Amino acid sequence: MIRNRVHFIFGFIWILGLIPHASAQTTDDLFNGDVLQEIRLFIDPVDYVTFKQTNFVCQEQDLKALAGEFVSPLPRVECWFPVEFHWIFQGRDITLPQAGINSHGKGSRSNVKPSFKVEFTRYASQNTFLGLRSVVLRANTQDASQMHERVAMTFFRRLGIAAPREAHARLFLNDQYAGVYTLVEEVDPIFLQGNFGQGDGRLYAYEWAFPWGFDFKGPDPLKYSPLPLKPENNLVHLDPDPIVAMVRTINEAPDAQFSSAVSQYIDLNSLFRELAAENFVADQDSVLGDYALNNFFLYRFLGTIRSIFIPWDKSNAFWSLDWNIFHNFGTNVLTRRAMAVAPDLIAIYRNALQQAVDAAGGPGGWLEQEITKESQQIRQSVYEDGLKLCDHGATGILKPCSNDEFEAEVAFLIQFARQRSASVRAQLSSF
Amino acid sequence: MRSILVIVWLAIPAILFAQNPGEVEEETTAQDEVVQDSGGFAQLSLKNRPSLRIGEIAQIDFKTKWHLDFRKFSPDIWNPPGVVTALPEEPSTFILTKARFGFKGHVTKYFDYEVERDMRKTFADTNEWHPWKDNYVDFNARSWLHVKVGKFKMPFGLEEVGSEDRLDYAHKSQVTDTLSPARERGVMLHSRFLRRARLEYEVGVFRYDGENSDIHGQPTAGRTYAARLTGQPLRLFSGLPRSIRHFYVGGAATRGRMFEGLNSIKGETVSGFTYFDHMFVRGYRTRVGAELAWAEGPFSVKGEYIHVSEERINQGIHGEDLPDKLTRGWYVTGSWTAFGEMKSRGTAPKTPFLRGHSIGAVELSARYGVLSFYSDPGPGLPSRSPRAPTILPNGERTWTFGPTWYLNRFFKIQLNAEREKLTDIERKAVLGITTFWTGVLRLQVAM
Repeated sequence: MIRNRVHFIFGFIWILGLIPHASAQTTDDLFNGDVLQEIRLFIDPVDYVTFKQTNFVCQEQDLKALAGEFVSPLPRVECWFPVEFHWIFQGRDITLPQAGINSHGKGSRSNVKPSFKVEFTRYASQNTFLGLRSVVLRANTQDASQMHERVAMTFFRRLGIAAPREAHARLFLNDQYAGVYTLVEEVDPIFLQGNFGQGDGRLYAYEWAFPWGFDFKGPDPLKYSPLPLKPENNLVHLDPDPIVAMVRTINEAPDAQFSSAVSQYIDLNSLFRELAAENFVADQDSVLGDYALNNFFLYRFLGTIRSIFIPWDKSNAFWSLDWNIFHNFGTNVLTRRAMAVAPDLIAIYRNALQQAVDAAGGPGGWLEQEITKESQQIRQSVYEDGLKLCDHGATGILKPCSNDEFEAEVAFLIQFARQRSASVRAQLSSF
Repeated sequence: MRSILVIVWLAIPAILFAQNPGEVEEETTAQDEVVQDSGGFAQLSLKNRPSLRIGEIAQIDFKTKWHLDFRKFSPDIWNPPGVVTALPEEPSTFILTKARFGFKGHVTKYFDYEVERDMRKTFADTNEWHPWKDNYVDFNARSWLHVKVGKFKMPFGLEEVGSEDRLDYAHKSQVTDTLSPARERGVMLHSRFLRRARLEYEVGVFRYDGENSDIHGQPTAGRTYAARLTGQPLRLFSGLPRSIRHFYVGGAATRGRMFEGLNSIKGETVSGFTYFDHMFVRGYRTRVGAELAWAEGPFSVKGEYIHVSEERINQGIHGEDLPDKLTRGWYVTGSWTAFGEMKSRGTAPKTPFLRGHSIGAVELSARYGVLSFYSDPGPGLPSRSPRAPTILPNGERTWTFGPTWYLNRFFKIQLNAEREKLTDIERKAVLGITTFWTGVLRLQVAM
């Protein structure tokens, strides 16, 4: 009897000892940049062959459907595939048996080293992973350093901008090493809830289809949504009218009321801080990038007409050391008019740039430390990654990337970290 | 322009073959046909349909069938932005759902034949994966052995095997449309036997698994075997009341090997929204069905039960075998000829519309059906994944009701309402909506 009680007490203590570990995993652990994460995906080999066959077809069909074209159901194209998701956390295997993946990316899309969107709730809404509905496994196929994305987003969050959390991970596909990936938090209602305290407003992903810089294209909502502003939620009752009103106001608001009028539709303080951060990191493919508007989400707060911009995809950040801090301000209607008639907004912008300068620091500053930390963390895994790709100069052609190219890009990033603050500070004082 | 063509085509039978109000319709017999050109050997009849009889050697009957539907869906057919599997924008108001022409007849006493093609694409913008319908030769080798070769309905399903023209509703039940195989190319032995019990056997082998299980016109299973036995066995017991004795029962089964891939049977609403998508399968698809029917005077009751199992060998993410995917459905339908009287074959009123004070016949019908998709339990929690060991069930419960107005042997008007309710509220076809309504007003012209 006594022995039974002793067994019971020890058993109880043992269970208690397990509980803290079992419940310890959080999204902070998953996106913990201090750890090189390990992700394992299991997919039926036939499905993976199909995945590669349909990789580019799916992208093309998605764009056609968004453009309002009828996409023939023939040939039948599968774009989602079931996988088993494993996260190896502190030696333990945390598994989600039935998740869905599809290919991710546009210019970065590759059959050699594909990026994946992993949707945990694809086959059951309650099937979240640490409370997440989905994550992106980014292959960084345009970036020899494989760090642009994570360094930039980490920097943005340091500046107080709501940006996805990220961490590097070693990915294994069916137990075969598939390379270094970046684990990216998806911008979805969970992200919105965590960052803004609400997630039921209207979320749009910007799908680049043509160069556009907020020019008014007429009162037809279809000119703006679902392409390029693709609704991500509330799909039954679309409400694109505030987008039309927003663009009309950007174009037609009287000069004297420009800031106040546009502020009804856009959180301009937040937007100009984001623009400052993007120009500080010299992002060539962003809101003010060289391809006009691109790589952002727009979230309209619940029950209002006011939206906020959320940054996305920083593959082409760290483009050049001397990137002009007012790069492309003249090609976008909103920034062009702000420059002309809204000194209050430019003041916000300049102030945000100064904050970025301070946050990044110079030689030995935060930015250099972050780049050094990440490069040391992933170096060995990058060396082992035989599938890594890169695209110097954004030519549109992905090619195999060498370890030397990795090291050269890391060296450039460190140089960028050491010199960029001084460059921006100099530009701020000269304008 | 196409609409005008449709109207012209529809007017042809009405003009050529419409009867005088006082004329009494009877079944076509050799004696009462109106002979246009006897000429002795060849006779051309125009009474019920154009028919050419060449002595006792051959007969050719021309036939045509038209369905013009006025439809309304709730919710409307709707394409979420950027969804590739978007439905074509079919008009929810008017659509031509059947425009068939064909010939039917016999050559000597040994061969029956039929040729039929749907011409919807010619007259409207609607799609038709399989325009060729019944195209076969039936060799009457013995009284107990007929051999049917060509394309025809596989012997499975009470509602499916019967003609759609004689249906009490505009649409077949969801159970039939989803689970029965429908037409296929093949060879079938069939005949009646034990005539007192009106038993009939049908055994066949077919090229594929039938058009109903196709995906965009592509077959999902290879060679399929089918067998069916039907009849009224209670007629053998003369001591039973007459109303009991003509109870009709039947059973059928099919079995065919599926092509590996996303080829399982899927579930979709009448309006075309998918609520249970294709799953990965490999192995045999097996159908088992039972059917019942009973009619007495103006009342009739029919019912059917179908069970389909689809094997999933090596279809797990790790290549493991998964429990069979199962689909089960049943329906029961009742009808009552509330006004007028129908002929015994149930295809036309005894007294046609406008003969005296007759309105033809009006039949009221109601049907309830249940369709379920699921699997045997496997490891792990139920999921909607196409490789889920345990499939999270989904299904629908469908009510259909409405009147059918038989004007004469050529014209029939049906007004139906169908209410479909899905059971898996997450795998709903449209976000936030689990109940789907379909309204159909159909004008049928057939001869």
